Amino acid sequence: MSDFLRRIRLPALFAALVFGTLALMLGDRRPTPEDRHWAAHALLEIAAPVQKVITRPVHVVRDTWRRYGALVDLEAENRALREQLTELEQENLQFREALVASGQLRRIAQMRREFEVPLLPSQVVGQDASAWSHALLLDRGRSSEVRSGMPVLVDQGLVGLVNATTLHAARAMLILDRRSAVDAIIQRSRARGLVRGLGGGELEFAFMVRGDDVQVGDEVITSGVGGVYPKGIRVGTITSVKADREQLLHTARVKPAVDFGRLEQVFVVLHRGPTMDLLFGGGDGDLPEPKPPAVADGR
Amino acid sequence: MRPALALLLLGWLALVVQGGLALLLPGWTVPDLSLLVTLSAASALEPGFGLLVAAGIGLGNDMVSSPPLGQLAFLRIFELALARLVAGQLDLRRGLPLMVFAFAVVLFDGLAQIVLGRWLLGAFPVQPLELVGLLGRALVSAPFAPVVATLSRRLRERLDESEARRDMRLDTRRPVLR
Repeated sequence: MSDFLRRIRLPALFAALVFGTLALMLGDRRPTPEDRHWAAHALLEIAAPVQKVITRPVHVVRDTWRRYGALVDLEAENRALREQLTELEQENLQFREALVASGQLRRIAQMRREFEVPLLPSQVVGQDASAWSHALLLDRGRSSEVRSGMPVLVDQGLVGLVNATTLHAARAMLILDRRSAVDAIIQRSRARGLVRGLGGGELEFAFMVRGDDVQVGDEVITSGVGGVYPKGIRVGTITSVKADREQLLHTARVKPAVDFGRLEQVFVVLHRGPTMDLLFGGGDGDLPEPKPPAVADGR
Repeated sequence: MRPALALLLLGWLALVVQGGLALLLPGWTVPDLSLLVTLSAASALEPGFGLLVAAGIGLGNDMVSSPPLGQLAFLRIFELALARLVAGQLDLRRGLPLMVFAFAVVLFDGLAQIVLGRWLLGAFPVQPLELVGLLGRALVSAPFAPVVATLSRRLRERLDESEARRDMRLDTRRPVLR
């Protein structure tokens, strides 16, 4: 009997591990309240500070070189920026005049106050090392009120969504990832569609055809529909439109607004939309009410 | 037990290093070190411990990546089993066969992830450039395989030696019979 047990021990262990991992995989193929698997995120918690130490010296050298390069071009750039600033000031003045004239400025300021949410700066300490998925490791976690389901962005545009957190680290899935989908609109024509990650450096915008309302060069922004991402964040620019007259759903390629290869610091939007609250449960998502920003309301 | 734990830690360290490197270098130029540690566990550990270490490294990989939890652990278990099978036919302690095998396994790993992704997520679009990237990644990873295997073997030998020394120290406490 003991001989038999010894003989089946290895195949049994193999089968148990295969079925165990298979069960995990099937259970996790859709987003779940991952924040609750505290034990499963031990490595994530350890990885963040270690990766920070690994990447810091290289960042320092790269920053120094970049600063030196920037210094060389500073004068020319300064002149160009001053000219640009003057142009933009003129343009801004005209827009303000137009808005005041139509009595919309106060309403816009009010809307901004309603939509404004605190942004938490976070350092990128690691990147997904696997071949087919795209994620970032951030150095802020639950202790900084970061929760799964919170959007991540930079000044250029949308980066992704936090999908796992530990006390001092978080993992954010990039919009490039194949599991990512963002409800978006074309800024010019307001044509609505879904931006999906293709895995590579590009995105796909799938939209319903209603005339020629998506063109190369159009800016794609988040629609705010779905309650996941705030409205009006840049996603990218249309680079090509695939027109097939027989298909109702057309697709276009989108060049992301964000240069994902150079991300060093990102901002986590400390607000989770209602859909994410439903998905991830409200238990650990009770965030403080967003404070009104200290901006002039234009009065 | 101790060599298994040491290799598991080495696998996790490899993951952390990989993640840090992926931030600084293009993805395809970063060798799949954690996969190479898994392959080295096939020859450095007993089969049972090897399976547990492979699953542990895979789960660690799942934590810091975004595919469904368990996917990479699932693959690592199969890759370890594959390494044990192939070790019966090829001498994986020699550099060239190990490099060729590591190249094939990195490719297998990438393609298997596409198949699993299609099965789990429904759609899993892959760009031709990404396949080229996978090939590059396999090419970059292969030369590191003998290095990682040697490191794992040395680690195992060192732990065995220290265990043997400890046993000897225990033996000296016995009364000497004359």
